[in-house]
Amino acid sequence: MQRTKKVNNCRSLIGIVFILIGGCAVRLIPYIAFRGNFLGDLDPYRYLRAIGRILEQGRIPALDTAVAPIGTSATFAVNHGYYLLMSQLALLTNAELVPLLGLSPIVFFIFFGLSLYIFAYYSSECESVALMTILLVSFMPGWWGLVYYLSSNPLSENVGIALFPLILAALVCFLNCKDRRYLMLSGFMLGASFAIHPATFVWASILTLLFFLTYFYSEKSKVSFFVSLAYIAMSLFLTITPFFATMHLSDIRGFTEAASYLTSLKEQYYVLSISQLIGELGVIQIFFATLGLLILKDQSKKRGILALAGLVFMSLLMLVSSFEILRKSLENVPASGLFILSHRMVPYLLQFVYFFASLAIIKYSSLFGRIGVRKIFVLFVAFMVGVSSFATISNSYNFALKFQVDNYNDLFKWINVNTQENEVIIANLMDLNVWIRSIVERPTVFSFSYEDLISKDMANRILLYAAVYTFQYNHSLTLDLLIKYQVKYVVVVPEYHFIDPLHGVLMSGVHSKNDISTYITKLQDRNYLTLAYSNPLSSHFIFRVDTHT
Amino acid sequence: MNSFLSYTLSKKCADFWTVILLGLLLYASVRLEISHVRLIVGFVFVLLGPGYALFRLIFVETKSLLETLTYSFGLSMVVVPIIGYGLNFSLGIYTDTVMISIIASTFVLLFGAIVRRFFAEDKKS
Repeated sequence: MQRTKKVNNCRSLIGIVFILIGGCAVRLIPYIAFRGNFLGDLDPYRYLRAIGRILEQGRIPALDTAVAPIGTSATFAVNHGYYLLMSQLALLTNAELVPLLGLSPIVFFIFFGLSLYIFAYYSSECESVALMTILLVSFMPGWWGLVYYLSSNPLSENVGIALFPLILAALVCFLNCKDRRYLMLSGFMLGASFAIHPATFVWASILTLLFFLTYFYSEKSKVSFFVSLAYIAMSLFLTITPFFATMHLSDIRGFTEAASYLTSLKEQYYVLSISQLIGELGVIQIFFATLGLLILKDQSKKRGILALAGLVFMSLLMLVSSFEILRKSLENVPASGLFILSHRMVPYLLQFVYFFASLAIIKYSSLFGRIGVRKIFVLFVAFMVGVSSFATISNSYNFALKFQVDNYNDLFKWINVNTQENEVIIANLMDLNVWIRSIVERPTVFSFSYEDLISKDMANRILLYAAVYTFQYNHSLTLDLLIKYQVKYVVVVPEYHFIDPLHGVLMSGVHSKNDISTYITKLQDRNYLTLAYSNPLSSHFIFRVDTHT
Repeated sequence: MNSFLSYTLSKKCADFWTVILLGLLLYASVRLEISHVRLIVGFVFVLLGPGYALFRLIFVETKSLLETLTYSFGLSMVVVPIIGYGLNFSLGIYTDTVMISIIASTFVLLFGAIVRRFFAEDKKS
């Protein structure tokens, strides 16, 4: 009997290793496409600079601890724990920051796979269900599910998503064996998750609360009350810590005000529609998950209660953001991003949907009776997952294409060779300001990054971009602002993204080839701008600012 | 006292000695600037060491490899930032301070785990 168990364990271990290697391979695609030199998306560059500053100063820089409204992705930007983890890793390994951050999601994906396996195993007490869950999660996620645990997109979410099932797994384990040490582990990890990824903390806390309410109801014991009190105290203690890390309270206020201001300009966040959500999760997976729910209902298994609570809660959250009235009413409430940025919830919901789908696949396969037929059915499903994973691989590749920072390589090279380190550069694409700052290390005036959101003269900085890149402001104002911020170069690319404070709108779009040549001619009419670089192929232009004329 | 010493040197404590060896290897590779060793050992130690030590402190009995590995990973994600906060308010986050505090806290937790395991086995026998 014991030997059989050992063989089963060994098989599971081999299965996990193979699945995780496959999952890592999918997630390596963007890293290979970026050749380890770039990071995808914009958020990773924000992390890169924060970690870079810790390495330079030896302290956490004065960052936001504000619970910002939705205006920017800043609601999710309170990640001291992640900065600290990565900076300590960088210090001890002496690895370069960009490749280290680029590869980190792979490492956290392995951790995520293991955590989810443990959660699925505790919740179903079946190794096959746990294996099928991580197989689906490794190969089947849609676009958003993949982005948040994708290589070259190093985000604090990578750690948060991995901690989430482990926090819940410890609770399920407590429920199964009444060992309070698991409760302690869960509380410890929950509290610390606040510093690493607050969204994980909030969602896991709500699920934990639901768990305790059910627990009180079923146990009706005073002991359980004290146990849960200790749990809450421990997680709260760790939650408070990050607030003391930020010494400059005025920055917090400034940051929140700035984020509110940006919100007032225009809705800037992405919300998934119901059809997109179904596409993200997959119709077949939703079908199987529904069958899985029926199994749970039939067997009334107490251990599956947290998975069920997770599925219901995350689905409800998704629905809240899908209804415009609810979304609009929440929009300016601090930290509302945690409840309405539905695309960031996808990887959390996905875990529960795939768990129930796996439960159905494995349990219904047993209806076939004969072991041989059963095995063929499971292998068939595994084969289908393999075939469908081409969509995931294609998504992974498209991610690399979408965030090809090296599309601007010609600009970076020119700036590197022809400008001084302290010369200020502005670009009509906000993201490009961040890349110029991170990749060629030249100062810029403004971006939607948190460092700029705490600048006291943010309104003027925003105005500078509108004055330079539109033709509605008079030249003397433009010149004054260029002098004030000592701007030496003005970059123009076909994609543009900046705020026009005069009309309170976000200017965003892409100039066509004809359009941009007219635009450049109009800019050249300004006697203080001289065309210094132009690339007709990519339509990239750089103007030198001559304020003496 | 003698029995505790012989217990720590026995095969039962091989896992503790492995972690201690890794810690010392990390220290040596940082001091002697052996880059490849530092990269690999640094990764393994930071992502598993403190979590493993804490997990063993809490759970004296043997757990499955998967469970141990997962919780070690998870707890390291939690312990390392907490150490970072401590350094942020005191000595600052630099190579030396980070290395010493992570290695030292892992060793302290490990020592606690050995003591707990020793008394647990003593009680059993």
